[in-house]
Amino acid sequence: MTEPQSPAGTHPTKPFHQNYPLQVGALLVWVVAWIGVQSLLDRNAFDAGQQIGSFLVIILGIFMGAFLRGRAWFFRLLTSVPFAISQISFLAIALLAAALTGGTEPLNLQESLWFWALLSLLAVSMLCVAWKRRPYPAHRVGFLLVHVSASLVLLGGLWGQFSEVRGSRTLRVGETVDSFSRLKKGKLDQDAYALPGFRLRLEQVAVEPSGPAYRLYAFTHPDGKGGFEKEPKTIDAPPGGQPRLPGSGLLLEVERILPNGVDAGEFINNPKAPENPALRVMLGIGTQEPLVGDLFSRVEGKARRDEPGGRFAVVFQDHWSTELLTRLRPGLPTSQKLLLTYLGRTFEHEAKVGGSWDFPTFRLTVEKAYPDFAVKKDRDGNPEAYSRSQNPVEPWLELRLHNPDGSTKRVMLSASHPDVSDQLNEPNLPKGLNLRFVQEGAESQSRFVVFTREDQSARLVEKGRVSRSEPFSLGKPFVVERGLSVTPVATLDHAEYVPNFVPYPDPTLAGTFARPVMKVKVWDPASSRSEEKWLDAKGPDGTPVAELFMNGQVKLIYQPRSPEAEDLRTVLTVLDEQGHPLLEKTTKLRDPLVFRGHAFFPDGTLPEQPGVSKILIEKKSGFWLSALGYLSLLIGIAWMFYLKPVLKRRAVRAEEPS
Amino acid sequence: MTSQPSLLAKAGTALLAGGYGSFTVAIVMGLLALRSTGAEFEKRNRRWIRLGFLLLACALVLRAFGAQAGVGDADAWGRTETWGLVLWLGCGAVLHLHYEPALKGRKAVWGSLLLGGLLLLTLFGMGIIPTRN
Repeated sequence: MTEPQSPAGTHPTKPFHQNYPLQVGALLVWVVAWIGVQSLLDRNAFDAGQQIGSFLVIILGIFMGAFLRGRAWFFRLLTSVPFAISQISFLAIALLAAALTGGTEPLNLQESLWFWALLSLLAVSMLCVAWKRRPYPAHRVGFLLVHVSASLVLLGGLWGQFSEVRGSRTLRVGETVDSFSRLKKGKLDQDAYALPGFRLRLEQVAVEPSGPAYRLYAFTHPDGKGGFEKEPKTIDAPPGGQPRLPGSGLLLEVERILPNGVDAGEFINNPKAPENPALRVMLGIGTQEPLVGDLFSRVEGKARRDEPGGRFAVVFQDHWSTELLTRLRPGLPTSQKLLLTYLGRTFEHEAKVGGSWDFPTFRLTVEKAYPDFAVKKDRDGNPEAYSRSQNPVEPWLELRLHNPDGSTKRVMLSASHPDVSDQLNEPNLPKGLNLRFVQEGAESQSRFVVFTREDQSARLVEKGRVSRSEPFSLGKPFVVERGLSVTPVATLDHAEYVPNFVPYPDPTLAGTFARPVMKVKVWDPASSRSEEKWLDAKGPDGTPVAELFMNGQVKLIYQPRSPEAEDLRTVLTVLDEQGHPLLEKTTKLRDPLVFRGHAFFPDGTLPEQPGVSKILIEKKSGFWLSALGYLSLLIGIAWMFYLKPVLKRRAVRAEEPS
Repeated sequence: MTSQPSLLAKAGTALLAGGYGSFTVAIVMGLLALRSTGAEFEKRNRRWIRLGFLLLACALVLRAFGAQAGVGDADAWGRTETWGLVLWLGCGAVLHLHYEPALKGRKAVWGSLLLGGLLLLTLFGMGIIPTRN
């Protein structure tokens, strides 16, 4: 092959093996060509092993063809120092460019043919240099080791890619397996991979939150219709920090966090706020201090308050209607169900005495229902549950959890006080699992005092009939019966709640009272406008309350941390063929159990059911060859730089005539 | 077994720091070489680059062994490994400059200062510039 000749009278072009720009251009073409080859292979559904096989065939063909057609020219190019400098620099720049582009996807060099192509060219260059610089007296062994090492690392890496095993299998707790289904291009293949000489058993699956129990989440992309994006972003706001809310120009500051906040807020009448009619009432029920509360006619769940003794309920509505009257009478529940929540997923089942609910690793049976739950002491002084009546006043359900080993645990669920039953059942339920008893349509109350705004009337409704009606005025008590009265003390047409939280007053009891709240300030540095609000992780009904800021630009919510893949822990045991345990480890997402070159770990998704986990297997051969290459490289570098001068001096002294 | 990968990774990190330190000294020697006549600082510049090259190579290899022991995959690259490899390859290119007649001497020293720029990018940019792990 001849070098390009410059026309007469012009500046001579450097030969290719000394021309840096031409070399870089050629390397760019080399990389682009291999990217094209890989995209072609991808389109034809070649898996990783097939792609590496194709790569080897093509590149060997190219090198052999080059050596056959222009051996001298090709050899001179590969052994030239400028080409070495170009290759090494180009590889560094290419790696950096690959790492900087591509968003958040992991940098997967071993699946990139362009990377193997560059490395192959460099390895062949280094082998040619090693060949050219023969012979190798003792002081030059280091040079040989360094220039052979790249080929060993390359061969080890290619072997690993070619023979790589990736598989997956869904296991239940207690299940032992000796094979996995192979994954090809991320999809399950029918081909199975048999574990060589050992088996794997899933001992336990648990979710252990690795961060704070409650986190701040932000919705920052309003859709213009009152909604926001589907998935919020988590915001970490360290004390004193002012992180920017992503996707907006707003800044956030966390002013205060209380793990056990007590609501000390109040309602005020704000004429500028939207219409929100409220009635403040005072209950005279024979206590030293009368009870005061607010009722809201247009807020679901807040238009009614029950007297603490259950003797009557107070209702506030905009209008009176016969439809309202039909609702104000005792009634049995229209439906009863069990709700099981596990890792953010909720399962529903009918709550029927005698019924059972099966899961892969346990069983729930409904033993008994208590419509009006109470506890008494039996003859031996032990607490005993019973039902005071058949009226659904205080509905509870008794269940039994059956474990695979035969043991059982009692589970008690309250429809009215789910928080109480959550605390009661925590030691008996599997970790990460929450069980609730829900009744719909039940009404236990038979007496109601109804205030209506439109006609300013108060009515006494008993057993579904209006027994008394009179106009109401502020300060005038409405007597329910002797000793029981309701007095309206204030009406608010534009009621607005001004929240305020204080720490639980008794520090010794604070630990048992958990209501995490956070005070945040959001401000716009451009306009210097700011808003402060409290975020309640356990609102009045036990669920987190989201707040809007800056005319609905962002929505913030402080809530229990959503379970993440990193929280999943699976305990795996390796057994020999006789079933004896060889190795046990608690694995998580990036911390596998490694046995005979096989790595086992849970996949990146949360399990759909309790007691079940998808386990991935990865195995790569050829590391020993790469390791040999790495060691050659290290020994070679140290030899070249530090041992060579010593050996060379000795060789020179040995040659000097004595 | 579970402590071995972390020990290897920690040793790798220590050597990485050593490599970065050597390059820093090499940059200083390079700056002094440009300001002075004579080849003394050029030799020192090359010596410190060689030391950094060796330490960085040891660090990358130890982290690869740590990854193999820990997760069964020596190619489990992280951000640190990517930037470390880029710096190491740059260093390799600079070392070869001394064997190219047209680029040895002062030009190679300038090359080492470019390496210094890459080092600064690695030290300060790694945490700021988003790169794939």
